[in-house]
Amino acid sequence: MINVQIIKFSYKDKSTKVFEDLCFQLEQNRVYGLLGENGTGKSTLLYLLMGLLRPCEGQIIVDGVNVSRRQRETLQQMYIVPEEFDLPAMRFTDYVEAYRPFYPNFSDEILCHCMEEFHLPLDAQLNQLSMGNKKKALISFALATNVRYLLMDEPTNGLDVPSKKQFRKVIATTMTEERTLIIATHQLHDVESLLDHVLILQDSQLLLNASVTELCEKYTFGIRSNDALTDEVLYCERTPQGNATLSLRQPEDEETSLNLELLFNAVISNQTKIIPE
Amino acid sequence: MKTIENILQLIRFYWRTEKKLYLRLFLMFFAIFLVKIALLDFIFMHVNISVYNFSHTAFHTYIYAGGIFITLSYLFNAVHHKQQAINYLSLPASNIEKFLSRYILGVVGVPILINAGLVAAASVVTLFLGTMDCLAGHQPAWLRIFDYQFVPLYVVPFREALMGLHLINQFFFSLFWTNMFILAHSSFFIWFGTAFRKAGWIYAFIAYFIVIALSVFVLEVIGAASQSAPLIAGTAVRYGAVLTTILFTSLAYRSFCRAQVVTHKFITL
Repeated sequence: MINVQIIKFSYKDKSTKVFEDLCFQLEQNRVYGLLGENGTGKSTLLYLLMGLLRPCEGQIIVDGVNVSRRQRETLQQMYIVPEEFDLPAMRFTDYVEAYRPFYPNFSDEILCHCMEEFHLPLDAQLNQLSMGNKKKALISFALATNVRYLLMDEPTNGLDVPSKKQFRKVIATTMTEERTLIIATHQLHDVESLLDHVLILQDSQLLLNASVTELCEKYTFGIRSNDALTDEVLYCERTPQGNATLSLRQPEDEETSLNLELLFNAVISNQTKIIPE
Repeated sequence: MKTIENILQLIRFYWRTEKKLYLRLFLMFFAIFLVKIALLDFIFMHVNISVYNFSHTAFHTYIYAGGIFITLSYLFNAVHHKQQAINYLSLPASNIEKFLSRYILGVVGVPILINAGLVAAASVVTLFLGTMDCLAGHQPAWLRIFDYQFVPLYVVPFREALMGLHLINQFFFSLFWTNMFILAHSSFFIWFGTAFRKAGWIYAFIAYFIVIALSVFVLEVIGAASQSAPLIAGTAVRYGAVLTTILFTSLAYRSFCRAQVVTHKFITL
């Protein structure tokens, strides 16, 4: 379990606080979506969770250990796929041979499965791959490490449409009960179907911290005509099909699937009504 | 025991991921020594042996000191670049294992690379001249070139010890303090390289020359006041080397532990 204990964080310019008394827990066996507008600190939060940045106040505890200590046993259970990264000029197989001894639960089976799904050869020369293919290779390696906490920063950036589908497939097939996946993204549609839990950051705070089940139990997402915009509609957006709405779910309403973009816009623009109690 | 295994694992990792860098460093030192032997030794050895001896020693000192210290100041360069820092700091190993593995790599590996460059350059020149001598039917005077290249720091005392000119324990005493002196310098440059995000070696050299100038001044003052100044100076330098090693190694480790994925910070303290 990851326990973020009342952390404060700011970069060099201390007047701009990135996080102010941020406090939450991340449970195992969940896929978290970390959402937020540009510059709200999604990547910063991932670096803090990984121990790559130190909070100015407070601490982050991963499985009982302060992650800022960067202990071997803690890092063996964590992996981050950054938004931008450098891969060395070597074959992917050599890259795997260099890094795999550090991950005791590394799985060749998962690696081969992911590379096959992404249509990438195992002996690909990393510096000759396109940015999208490099990302696919790194995601494959990350999943093969079999770590307990996998952090991904904008994993679908740079991936083409078929690759995004492949990405969702490999994530879905490689998720295990022990694993927690945290995906920071603003490509909401790419990860919508994967998420178990939604975290929305805004103004140094966590505006929303709710499971998808909880959200779908409490709210419905749909298209309504102007006549049907009743009091239970908490948020609506005009679309060519009609009004896309987020409404309080009534006892007679059927459960609808999560519309992440609508939820995100609703939270950002109309926060007080949306946050579940 | 586990820590030693982990350090060896990290050293193997560096070899796998950085071998091209080591090859480039070897080729750089090889090229420097090749130019030095081919030009300096050829020209000065036949013109004026005293000029040759001076320039030879000075050149070797500059190459060894400059090569080791500048290279060591880049030892923890990975933590100064965001993407490399993410990669290196998130690698599953403790801070002490990462620090010690790179420290060992620097203080042992870099001198090995420089010596390998020297041996390779001297061998190439020796083989070339030997071949030329044989073809011309001359005596093989070229062997002197090879003999002259190696660091008198280690070779001369060892040779003298073997010949009975020194006691063997004096050799080890001298060897210990020579290594301690090199380690003290290395720690100094490693700390500057770890603490400063850019061009740590320039700040290190500036600080180094200030420290040397102050030390010379202090020793001059002591020398004027006491006849046992050389003894005091020798002892001060020896203990100073130990203290410098401990102080700057600790500071470098602290800087490494405090390193974060922040690109704009000028210094990590």
